[in-house]
Amino acid sequence: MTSIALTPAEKPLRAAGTDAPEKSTRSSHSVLRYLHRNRWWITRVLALPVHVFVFVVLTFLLVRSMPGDPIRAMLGQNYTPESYAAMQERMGLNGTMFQQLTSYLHGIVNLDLGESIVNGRPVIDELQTRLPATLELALLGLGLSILLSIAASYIAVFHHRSVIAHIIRGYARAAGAVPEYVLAVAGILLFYATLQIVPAPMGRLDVDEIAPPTTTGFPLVDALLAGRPDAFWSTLAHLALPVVVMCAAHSALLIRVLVSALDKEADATATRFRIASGASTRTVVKSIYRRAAPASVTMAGTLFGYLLGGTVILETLFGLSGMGKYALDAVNSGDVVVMQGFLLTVATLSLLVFLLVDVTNMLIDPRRRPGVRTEG
Amino acid sequence: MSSAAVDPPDRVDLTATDVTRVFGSALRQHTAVDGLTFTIDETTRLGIVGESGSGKSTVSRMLAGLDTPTTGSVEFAGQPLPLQLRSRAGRLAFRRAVQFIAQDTTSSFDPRHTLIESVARPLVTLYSFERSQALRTALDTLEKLSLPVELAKRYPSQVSGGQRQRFAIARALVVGPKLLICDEVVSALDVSVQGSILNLLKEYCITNEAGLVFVSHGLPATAFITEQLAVMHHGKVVEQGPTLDVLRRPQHPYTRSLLTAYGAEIEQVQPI
Amino acid sequence: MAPHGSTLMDTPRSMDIEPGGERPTDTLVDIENLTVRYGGPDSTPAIEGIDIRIDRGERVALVGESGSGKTTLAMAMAGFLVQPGIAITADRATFDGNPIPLRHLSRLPCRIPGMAMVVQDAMTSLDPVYSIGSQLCAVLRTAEKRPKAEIHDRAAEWLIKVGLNDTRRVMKAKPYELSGGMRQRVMMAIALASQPQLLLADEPTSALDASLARATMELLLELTESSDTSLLIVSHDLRLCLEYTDRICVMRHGAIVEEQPSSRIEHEARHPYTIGLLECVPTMATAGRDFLPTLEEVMAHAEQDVA
Repeated sequence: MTSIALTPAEKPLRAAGTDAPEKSTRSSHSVLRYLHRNRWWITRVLALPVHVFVFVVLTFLLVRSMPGDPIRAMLGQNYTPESYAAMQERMGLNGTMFQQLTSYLHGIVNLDLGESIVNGRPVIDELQTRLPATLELALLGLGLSILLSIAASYIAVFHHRSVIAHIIRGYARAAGAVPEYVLAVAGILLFYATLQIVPAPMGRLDVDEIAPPTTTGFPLVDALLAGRPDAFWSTLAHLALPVVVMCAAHSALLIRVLVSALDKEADATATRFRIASGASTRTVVKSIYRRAAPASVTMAGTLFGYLLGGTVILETLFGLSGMGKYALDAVNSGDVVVMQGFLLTVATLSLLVFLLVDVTNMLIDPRRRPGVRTEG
Repeated sequence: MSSAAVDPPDRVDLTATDVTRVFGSALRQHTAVDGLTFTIDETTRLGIVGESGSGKSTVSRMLAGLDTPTTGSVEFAGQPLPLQLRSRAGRLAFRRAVQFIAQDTTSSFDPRHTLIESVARPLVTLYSFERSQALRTALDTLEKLSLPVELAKRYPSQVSGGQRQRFAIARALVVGPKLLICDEVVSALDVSVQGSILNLLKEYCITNEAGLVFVSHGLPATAFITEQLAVMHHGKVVEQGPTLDVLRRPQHPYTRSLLTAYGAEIEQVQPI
Repeated sequence: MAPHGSTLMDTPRSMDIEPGGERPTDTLVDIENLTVRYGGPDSTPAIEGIDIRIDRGERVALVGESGSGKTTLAMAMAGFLVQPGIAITADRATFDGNPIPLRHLSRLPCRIPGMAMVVQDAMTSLDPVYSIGSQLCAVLRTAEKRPKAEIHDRAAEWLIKVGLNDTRRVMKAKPYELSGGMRQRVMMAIALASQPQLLLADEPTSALDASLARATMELLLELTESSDTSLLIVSHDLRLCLEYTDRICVMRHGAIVEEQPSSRIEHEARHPYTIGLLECVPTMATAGRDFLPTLEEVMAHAEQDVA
């Protein structure tokens, strides 16, 4: 509740986040003020490692709470006390719980996620090759979806009488219902088998092409860095269909959310006032998008998290080696160490994405920052 | 106007003693109400006026048991209100005697029930009436308030704000309360209905010997319906007394400025 | 519905109209036989057969209750009725000589250059995610073609004009960081920054208590007087409008039932509804009475007098 008595030269309500009265301009004090005013993102960033730590401990406990004896299960017929002890150590299950936890945490801090039980390869090495590849695919899919939804929402809302707008709205309603793998199979059938305009769904390059040396781990980037434009375009061509399929399956939801938010904001009093006061149409449209954005940003973040972990089907169908396949193989072979590493990586990335989403939304819409008191 | 055939409670008085209400956390506090003290019973018609943010709505909510003071106490019939409301019997006794009418009619009605059902509901909850009996009594009340039955069969969203407010009043009056607490009930209404609603409330209180706390930022409406007037400013009661006295001989400068805004002629201040 | 051309209209103009001659060029808004139907050409009209004219520098009030059509009329004048299915017709609808668009195909309403609007609630009309400075400069950029630094200075000038002297802070602040009174001043600054010829104020004082309502009206007057901006105030408070406008149009059920100069309407009101509005409002004088006059009673009484 605030007093709204009109007296000239009123001081504004103390700005969000600044409770400390302005005393002297000592540098330490101004640093404190800066920290206080920006606590909305600083606290979020500081909280991230805490969340990761909690997840690490949870993963640890999860693996150790599996019923039965995983060591025995791994050994099967080859049980001897020595092999048991050796396997136990390989899986990190020796010593007391506390010792196990500390050695596990110690490993993580040194980026040592253990070695695969099945083939002995360090998990971190595998992740270094597979994660960027999946990341690249997910980013391409998400990026295209975002661009498409911005363009489609603009047409659907601001040219709402056109035929395309109606098609877009209908698509947004229906498309979310068709599963990704159905679209993938249909896409392969149509664009590869029948029309033959995309390369075979067997990996990122043709069988006779040599892959560029791995520098960053991102196949497209590596191709460019190694001066191999042919590999770049070939990879792009191979990724075209899976990316289009991802986009077709998931952008519908983004479009729906964005269109509904835009419709609401276009009719808002703030928009009318802006128009009535004489702001240019471009400014008005930009302001509508900015006010409508937060819901879609959140949705995009969720979508990314899903794409990261859920590309397993696409990777299998299109023969791309990535995180999904890695995890699938690990589950099939009971490779607990790899599963742990996979969980940890994807969880950390998701938490990072959620942080980005939160901070972006708070940047776009300052009312969402903690400590902001908006009046009713 | 009371058609509920039950015994009225013996003592119906609300006493606020040095009531303070502070909102917010340690870093940023806001004192909405600061040191309020008064007593209301079934013979009082008290008006509380002040501008937005003066704390008057908070006062009405605390009196109605919808909010608790930070310090100080609100007592009903000699017993502290929180204690009264802790037991079911206590709650029944309180709500039968004291009814609260809010400003916002859109949120105070259940949108899934028709207006007549909403008006009849207090009889079922507070007096365990049979549904048919409750509906009949409610219709009775509506008739006395000149509210047409066809309107009562509609849903809250299908009638105008003014009509909804009349139904809200009907719902409060159907149980025959001895104390009415009204929070800005006419502020959002058109001029054409304000008069009839104010008349209605005043008549009920006089005929049924019920008390009234009328909170509003509109001074003329409050002045009409009340006998005692309290002027609030920034959480404090700056002036209090018989309504006509306060209007004709305001002592506090804030009261004087309020009256000037309404174009009233003010007599010279009597030096105290 | 009141018939077109209510018999109780008394329309003195500050300019005399030569019979059969051109409308004088001091006319800013010229509307004849305006009808708005929300539900399509066959539905009940929200307003019907409205004639209204506003001259330059004139201050007119549209007074009525909810449902009277006053907001619809103001919105139609501003070209802001864009709901699908709406049907608007008029024999004549011009603003500063140019026709007011009555049909809209685009999603957003088009602005009519020279007109600006302020609404009841400054909190919802200011863009909540942008700073005050950015919103003010956006208006100035379109209105005046000047370099960026000058626009910023002009914005600060406007803030001072509305009584907000701490310009640096206000320019950087977001709407929720300001108090209600300051927000209202900012809203007026933004509305007037484009130097409109007509300012529409839709219920500017309805949510406010008496002293604040007066202060708001004073501010409106002060700001528009020097620039000779016309004012159209939509309100339900007849008595308040009496003191701050030149002419009052009383609306009821979609028609203008009475139109008189503000100085005369209080004592020379002829339509029973106007008399009702004037007399059934609780005032300081009614404080001691037993019963308040209701609108129906006053109207019945007034009709008897007229008969």
